[in-house]
Amino acid sequence: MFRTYLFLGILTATLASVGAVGYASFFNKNLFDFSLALGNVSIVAACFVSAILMSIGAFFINKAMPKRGEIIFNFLLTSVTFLSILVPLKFQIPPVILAQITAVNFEGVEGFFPIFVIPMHFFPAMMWYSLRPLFFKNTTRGI
Amino acid sequence: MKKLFYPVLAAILLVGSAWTLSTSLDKLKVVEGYSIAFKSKDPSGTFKKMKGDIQFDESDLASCKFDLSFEVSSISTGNGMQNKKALTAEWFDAAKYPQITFVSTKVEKSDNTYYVTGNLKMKGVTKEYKIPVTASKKGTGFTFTGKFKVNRIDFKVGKKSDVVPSYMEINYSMTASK
Repeated sequence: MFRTYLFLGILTATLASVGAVGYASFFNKNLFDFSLALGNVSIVAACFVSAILMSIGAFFINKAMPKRGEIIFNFLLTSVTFLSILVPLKFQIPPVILAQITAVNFEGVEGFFPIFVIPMHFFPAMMWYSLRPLFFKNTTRGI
Repeated sequence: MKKLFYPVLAAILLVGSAWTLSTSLDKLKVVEGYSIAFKSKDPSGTFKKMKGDIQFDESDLASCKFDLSFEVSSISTGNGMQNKKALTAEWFDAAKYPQITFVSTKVEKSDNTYYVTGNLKMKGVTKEYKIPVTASKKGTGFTFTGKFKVNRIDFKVGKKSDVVPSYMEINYSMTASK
């Protein structure tokens, strides 16, 4: 059972990484260049961390509550995803990096950093919701 | 043993990704060996590709030499449209003049600042510049930093405009190691 959750997590991480790296490349090339602040390696690693945590969380919640586990897990995943946007809103770009980002963009560009990062926070969760039916045929019905 | 395989795999993936994430964020603190940034009210940017030779000896300024070239096509203003426009004939004309060069002719010292006099060649126009340089030792080499102003109109880079200032402030930082 855990194997299925793990495979779902790995596939979620892989596809979310592809989407996020593509989005970041487009943003850096056509809008504001934040590649110095957030590189592709960091994006892929973040996707894997979140997706593997999803696998572990989903497994234990569904094991503890077989009937309502999926509902609770989905609610938790959505809540955590929305709460995670507080991280880029509070994040302070290190001064050395900020100086370089300002040089390749313009003064005050760091204000756009959350706009760059926040959409990517939703990629793993969206991918998980899209792929889950392929791995688990029987989904929990509503109350 | 077989039961442990997938939990262990999950743990390895999680720890590995978390470690990669933390170390890749740490690497952000590492600044590239050089940066050539130009700043104005609008636009600002950098030239990402530079090559050259620097000979620097504090005790023998006569032997010092700065021979640098920047690839015009590596310009990055943070705006794709602006980058393309910068390469056109009206601005840097990258097809005809692919490089900006600076070759020093004299190095002097006053107080703690060095002054490098040399020829700056941009878009086929050569002008003599005296550039202030702060040199600080870094390992077996030196880091050179400073700033100066360039009038783009002198080099026929764009036309006089109310929108784009004529003077661009150039900030540079480069490390030369032995």
